Amino acid sequence: MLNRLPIPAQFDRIIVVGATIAVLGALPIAAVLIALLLLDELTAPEVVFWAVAALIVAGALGTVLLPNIVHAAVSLVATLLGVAGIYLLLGSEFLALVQLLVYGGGVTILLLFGLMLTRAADDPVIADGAQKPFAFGVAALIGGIFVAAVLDANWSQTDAAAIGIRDIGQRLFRDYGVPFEIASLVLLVALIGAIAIARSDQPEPEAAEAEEVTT
Amino acid sequence: MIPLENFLLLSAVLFAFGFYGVLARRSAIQILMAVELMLAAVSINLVAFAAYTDADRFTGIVFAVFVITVAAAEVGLALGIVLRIYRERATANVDEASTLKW
Amino acid sequence: MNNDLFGFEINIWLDAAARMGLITGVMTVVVMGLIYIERKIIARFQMRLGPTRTGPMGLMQSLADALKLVGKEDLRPAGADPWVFELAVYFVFVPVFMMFVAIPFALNWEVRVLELGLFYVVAVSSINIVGLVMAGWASDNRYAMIGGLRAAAQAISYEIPLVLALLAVAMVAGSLNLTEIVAGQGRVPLIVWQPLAFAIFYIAMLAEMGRTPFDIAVGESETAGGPHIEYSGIRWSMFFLAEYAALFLLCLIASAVFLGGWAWPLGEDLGRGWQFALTAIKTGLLIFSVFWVRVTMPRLRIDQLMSFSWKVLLPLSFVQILVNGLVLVYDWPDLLLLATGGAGVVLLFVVIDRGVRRPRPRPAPLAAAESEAVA
Repeated sequence: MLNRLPIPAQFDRIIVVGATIAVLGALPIAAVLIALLLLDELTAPEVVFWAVAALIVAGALGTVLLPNIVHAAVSLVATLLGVAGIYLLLGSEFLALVQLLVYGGGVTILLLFGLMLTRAADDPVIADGAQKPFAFGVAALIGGIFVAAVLDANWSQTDAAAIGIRDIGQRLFRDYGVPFEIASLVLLVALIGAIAIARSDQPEPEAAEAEEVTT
Repeated sequence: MIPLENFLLLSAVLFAFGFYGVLARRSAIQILMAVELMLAAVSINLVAFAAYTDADRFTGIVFAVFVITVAAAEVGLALGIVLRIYRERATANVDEASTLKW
Repeated sequence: MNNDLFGFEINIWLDAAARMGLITGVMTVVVMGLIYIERKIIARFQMRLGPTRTGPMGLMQSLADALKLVGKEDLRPAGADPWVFELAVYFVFVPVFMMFVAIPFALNWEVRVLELGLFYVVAVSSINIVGLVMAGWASDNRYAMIGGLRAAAQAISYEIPLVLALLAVAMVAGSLNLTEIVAGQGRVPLIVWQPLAFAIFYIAMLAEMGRTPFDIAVGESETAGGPHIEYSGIRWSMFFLAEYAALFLLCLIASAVFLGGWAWPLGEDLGRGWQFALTAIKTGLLIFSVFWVRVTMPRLRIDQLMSFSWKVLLPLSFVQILVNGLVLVYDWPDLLLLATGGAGVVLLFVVIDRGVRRPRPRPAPLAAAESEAVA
């Protein structure tokens, strides 16, 4: 029936079914959030929090459950962008931007690069290991313990306040100067190590490729 | 105002997902992605505590910066190793690369 | 909660929606104008006329092209991965438009003044590389894949000098807030104090946008269009919308950060009209120079491209940051910045010149055969 409808060829079965599922998943959340917002049960930051949290959880589920490795990488990108949103809500603009720059522009590109240079480019579906049920049990246990601990404990809390870039700079370079230097040393060692490991022993055209990966 | 528990619950759930991914996945790159999830969960926790309970609102943020730094270094190195293994063994799955010497 | 938009009190969500709509509308018009201007300018450089038929002086050409692209069939290869293929466009398109938020066009005339504006622009613009890699992989096409990987390698390599050059400027300006940077330049724009940073930024900017001479990712003669190869119709036009929007926005940022934006040389007191005119002139000059470079320079090879970033631009930007730090901490005279920056620019040009003039290494058998023939 879908073939007869006068819709662009892009809206084929996969897209239509998938979009329907996505809308069915997102619509109740959005409806509840908007209703609560209109009833003044939630403030605007809380609405944003729940929306971002939904994005993060959906992305994380996709990252660990999707069989296609590139799809998993794309949902990882969604999760990490959502985490940047959480940092924004916590009043740390600087950290949110660092997250965007390092993860959005660096780490995910590296991961995708790794996928493309291994066989994943042609054969992206890799089955999970046989230890899956066991893994599920352990993860559920750990998650349960954490959730129980969080709900059980009682923290004295104050408001989240925005933190200025000048404060961060002062503290980072004055109070945490030595850790900062050590961190930069770690990065340097990692850079050199990655080049040394990924470089092939015999000089061949692949050497240039390996160097790119370590960026 | 968003309660602190919301952030902690989110990070707990995220950590559990990452943990599941590390245990269940076979491809080394997928395991790396799951590790990234766990690191993100830890960072959320640190920043949330810094924003809500720390008097000078700062230490957690510095730690999150260091977590991000080390995560970047870790991904770079780990991908180098994965590529090396892939070149020698033609696989990037951890269960097929279980022997130290071929 | 209400917000102020052009003097109207409106709801905060409506405000966000209105600003987003405004950005998209303005950018679409600007991009169409840019495409027309680029075609005209390149045609003049090549002693042609460019578009003349559609409308007066061909002014309607971009509109006609846009209509044609919208009406075109939107194809997707059978072997393509549907989700990644469709999503990739948005990963390229949305970040570029998000950059728009922090950019000052005139005094108090921006979507939002961000305290970390410069950092925000850099961070947001780095996301669209993901979209290019996704497009390359999802198209199920070897050329697209190679193009996507080249684009990613190039973008992450040139992002580092780009960020470091902006960091050097931020050190001198003492702020990351774009409005403060513009206002703080006073009489002398920052390009005078930081010529080397400007040169590095300009080159890295060309590479980030993937324009000639750094267009190895999309070069028609090598990768047949790179990551965009399988896209058609409106999706293809969205890629190009993003590319030209990035050109416009990066030139705007360069004009604000290095050339004094809306303030220099007329000062802040003149009306908004003059401020817009100044921004437009500076941005226009930069955009023109980008087009000029495009018609003049041949394309680089990928190994030249990578080694230029890592062996030339990166060390020079480190040197620039070191000098800035020394001058700022020890209160050395500002003229030192000018002198070292100028020396750095000269060094950069010498390096490029030597690289261009160096005899090309010839394939071994050919060289051997030639020497035999000579003997």
